Amino acid sequence: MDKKLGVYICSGCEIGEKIAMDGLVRVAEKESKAPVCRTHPFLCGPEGTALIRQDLESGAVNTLVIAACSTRDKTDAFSFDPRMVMERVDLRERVAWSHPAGEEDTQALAEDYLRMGIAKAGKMEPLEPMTGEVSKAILVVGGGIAGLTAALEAAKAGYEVVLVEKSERLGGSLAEVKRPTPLKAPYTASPTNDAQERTRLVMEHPRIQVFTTTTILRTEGQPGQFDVTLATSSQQVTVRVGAIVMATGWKPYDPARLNELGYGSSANVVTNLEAERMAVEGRIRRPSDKKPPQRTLFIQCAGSRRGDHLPYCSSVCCMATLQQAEYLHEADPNAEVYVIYQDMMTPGPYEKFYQKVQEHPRSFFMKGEVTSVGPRPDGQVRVRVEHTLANGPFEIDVDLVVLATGMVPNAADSEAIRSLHDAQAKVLRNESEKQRTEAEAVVASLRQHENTEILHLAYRQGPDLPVLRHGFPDSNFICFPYESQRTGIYAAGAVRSPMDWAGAEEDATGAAMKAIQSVELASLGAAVHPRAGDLSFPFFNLQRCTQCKRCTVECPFGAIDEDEKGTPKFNPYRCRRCGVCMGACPERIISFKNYSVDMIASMIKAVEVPEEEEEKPRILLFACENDAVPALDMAGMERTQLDASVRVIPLRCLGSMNMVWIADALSSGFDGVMLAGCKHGDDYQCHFVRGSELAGRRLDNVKETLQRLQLESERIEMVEAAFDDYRRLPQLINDFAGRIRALDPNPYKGF
Amino acid sequence: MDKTSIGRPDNDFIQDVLALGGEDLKKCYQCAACTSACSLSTEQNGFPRKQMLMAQWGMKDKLLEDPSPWLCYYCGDCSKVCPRQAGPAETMMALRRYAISRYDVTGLARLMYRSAIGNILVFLVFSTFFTLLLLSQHGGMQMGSNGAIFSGLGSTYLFQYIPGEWIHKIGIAVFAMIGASLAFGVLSMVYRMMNKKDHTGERLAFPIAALLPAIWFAVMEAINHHRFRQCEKHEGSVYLHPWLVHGAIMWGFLAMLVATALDYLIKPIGSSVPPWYPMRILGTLGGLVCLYGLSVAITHRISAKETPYDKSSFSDWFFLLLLAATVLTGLLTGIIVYMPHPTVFGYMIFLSHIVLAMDLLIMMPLTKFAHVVYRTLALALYQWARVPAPQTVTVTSSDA
Repeated sequence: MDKKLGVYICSGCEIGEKIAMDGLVRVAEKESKAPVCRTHPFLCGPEGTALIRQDLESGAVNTLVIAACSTRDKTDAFSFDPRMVMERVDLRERVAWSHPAGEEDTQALAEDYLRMGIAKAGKMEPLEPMTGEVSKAILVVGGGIAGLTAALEAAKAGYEVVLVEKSERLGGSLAEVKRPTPLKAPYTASPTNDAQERTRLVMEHPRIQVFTTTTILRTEGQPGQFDVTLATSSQQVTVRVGAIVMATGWKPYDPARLNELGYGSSANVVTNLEAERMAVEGRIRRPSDKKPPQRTLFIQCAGSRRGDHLPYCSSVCCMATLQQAEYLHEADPNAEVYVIYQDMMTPGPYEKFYQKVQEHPRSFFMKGEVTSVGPRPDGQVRVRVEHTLANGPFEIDVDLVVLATGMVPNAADSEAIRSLHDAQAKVLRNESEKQRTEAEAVVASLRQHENTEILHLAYRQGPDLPVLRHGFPDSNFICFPYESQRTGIYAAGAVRSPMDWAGAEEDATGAAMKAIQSVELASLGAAVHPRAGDLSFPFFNLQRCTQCKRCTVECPFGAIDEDEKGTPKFNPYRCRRCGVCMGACPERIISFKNYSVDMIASMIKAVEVPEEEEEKPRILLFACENDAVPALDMAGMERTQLDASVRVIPLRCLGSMNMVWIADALSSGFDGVMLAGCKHGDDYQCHFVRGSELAGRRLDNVKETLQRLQLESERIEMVEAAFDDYRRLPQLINDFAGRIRALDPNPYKGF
Repeated sequence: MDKTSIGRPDNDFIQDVLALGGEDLKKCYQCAACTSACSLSTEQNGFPRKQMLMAQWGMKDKLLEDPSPWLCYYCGDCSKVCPRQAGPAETMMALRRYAISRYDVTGLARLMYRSAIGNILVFLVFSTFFTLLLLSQHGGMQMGSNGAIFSGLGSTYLFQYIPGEWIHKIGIAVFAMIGASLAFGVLSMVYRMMNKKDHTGERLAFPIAALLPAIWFAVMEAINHHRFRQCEKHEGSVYLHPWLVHGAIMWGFLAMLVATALDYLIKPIGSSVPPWYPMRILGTLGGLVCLYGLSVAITHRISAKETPYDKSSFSDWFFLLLLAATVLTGLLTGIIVYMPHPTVFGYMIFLSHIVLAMDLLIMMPLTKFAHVVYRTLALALYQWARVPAPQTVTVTSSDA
């Protein structure tokens, strides 16, 4: 297809006042030989867009360069055929709103941006969406409250659902408690336990297929095309589904590790789960003699919020304790209940329930630390409490001690399992004595992960969802709840984060919605969140592949498997189009039709670098499209002035940065290169999990490049910038520009 | 020796505190907003947060050995900021009432605090007793015109009706009984507070050298109520400041007491004096000042808009009204002695005044009145055991 380029330049929103339009038109018409170049004072208005549509319809143009505002603005006005080649050049936030009018440097900046946009459009190709048979069924793993809700919500929305439950009955932990927590004002009375009703609704729903006493043997494929092999008690079944909701819930923290709180030393020290079971069976009793306790002491945060145990708060144990206190008071109004807490965590309106229980004449609450729990000869238990808010430590003899233990996610650590499998394979191969002993040590250290698989994903990066901190398989709970690091698989309920039934219900509804979005977008061949609707996907020029496996290892979403030789096997529906593989590939064989190593390199080369004598430095800024670019846009809105030497190239993710661009920039005469990515580490803010981390690691290798070119290492700098760093980021950029201006010019100018 | 208590809540004690005014005690969730709002709470001795917790857990002994409830002047700052409306000020008051009733061996105080009817009954019994006792020696009412106005001859007739010597004898007996009653309370308090242990389980030190300064501190505090003045962020008129109101009642009462005592000591009983006689002027002025304070306290309690006036117990009302009635009848008697004709009404007012004054005195160890002794004593013991605060160079430090 021949490209017929049309360049449309808007002069509204101060652009025309700051930049000479004829200069821009000259770049488009004379330098770039664009057959059509039009300017308009209100390009996003009906008249302006009509201008573009007319040219498209008449066939005068089929490739658009729109030089107006930020790519994030007016997306609805400039929305044409999504497959068509269209590049937007930001003259407003990046030039007019952040630079002075009438200056030579401002004009040069605007013209460079137009050149870069035209150069990129020249390399881009129209998109051809994936087409494939896509299943819209949804697999729900786990039949607790989250699983039941997700199944029901998806089915109600019209989707076929397969629900798999490991045990023989549905209802999860809700079915095992006497009463749920109060959910309605005035939050002082518990509703009836509706686990049976919820189970019935799911069992009777025509679009929900339920498998109990069933586990997953294998999950193959990709979103829209998952083939899941189920092992029921009698047979193996394979179902095809489009997306998966993982609602595998939680397990209690192992009380065997709570010897310090007396568990095991006396029969009359029980966990909150054991107490609940007694309450369900009748009433809470002292295990030693089955007598109802006169004095019961609850120890909150038993094995929680401590470095040597669970470091987090499970947010539900306090409510469980309050409810059990109420059970005890109902059974015997004179029974005394003591609660030793670190902090009572009764979020939101649960506070009302706390107040109610606290005001009971036989409730006693004390902040303090239990330092010893020991049996007494008469079956009683002596508890010592220190660091109290009263006067000093005290000891108390009670009939029963209840440990309020926390929640551990029912998840499998994908990466650990993968490492274990690799090590086990190495032990079997037994290639050398040294290798075998090393592998055996790894196997020993990861033994606890053996046979912990849940989803059994046939993925190169491991059989389950990768876990974040504390073993929860979340991708990033601040920005994207329910998202996991495996496309099309969403975590919901207590497996995602400690929560109660109300939280799990809400969570499951959200995850069901994400699963529906996933199958619907897959059916369009489009990406899911965060680049929802993106039709591009990477192509692998495998003839030149050296099987280095960097792409298969670095893909944050496990989209790329590999064959026995290590050649990548790309699964397009798993892909989120971040381009991390493209940045990783040393052979530069991975590219999108609208985003490639070559395109960015052409943009770099399109910049007119002034001669050394002019003493006008040029700085290239690779900016993450998701955080740094919007931060710069907001800086523009505040009219923050930027150094005129800086040329910004937005990247899908800083992880898609290929190191060759830095070499290109330096050899083109750029005096400095700056990278602006997201925060990384445990509290990462990257949309693609590891982008800035990977870019940082690659940047370390650049030091060699600089040495080869005999350049100062200060010429390259990487910064972390968040969405809301719109005041800080311009400062960082201007400071960097100041430091570059202090250096000698890049000696490679003019080569 | 084990320094920790084998704790077990004293549920009877908790019930008492709830019944004596701390009814919202259980609502406290230990945020300590009260302690930070209290201008008398210090880093070394924080209250009332800790007392709330100890009361919730029924730690009776620890609370009885703690002077903190007596350091509180019930300004209500803490209750105003309490996010749970747990009424820390009311609990501190309840703890004081508990202490008073605990130190009263007769058990009457407990009855009076817990029941309005009990309170009235005790009052009626005492009043009847004193009335009968006084009338047992009465000399009859003398009627008719016997003098010019302002001759002051009225007092002669009044003291013929109830002989002054007889009143004096009864008064001595009443004071002896108060003394005995208070002695028990004082000794109990001293014993408990001097056996107080600090948070490490060590007994507090009461160095002899610090005794006199501590007594000086307590007496000065009793005189000027300097700490009470720090208390409240009072926003209204200065004439309504609780410190001033309390001062008016206290100093007015003291003036009357002194006038009565001197009256007795320096002139023959029942002898006539002119209105400008110094003791007479002192007594009248004291009565008016006291009446001013009482009227403010009473009107505040009637409007009951904010702490500390919104949660008055019957015992509070009783004490105020008893005091007001005593002062009023006293002032009226002061007028009656200058009237030209003795009347039955005049004799009755005189009799009532003596009965009410006797009631007020005999019930002193049982009512709010007892704070005069216990607060002063607790202040002295608190100051005595107080570890001097480390010298800081902070200019803003107000805790001198």
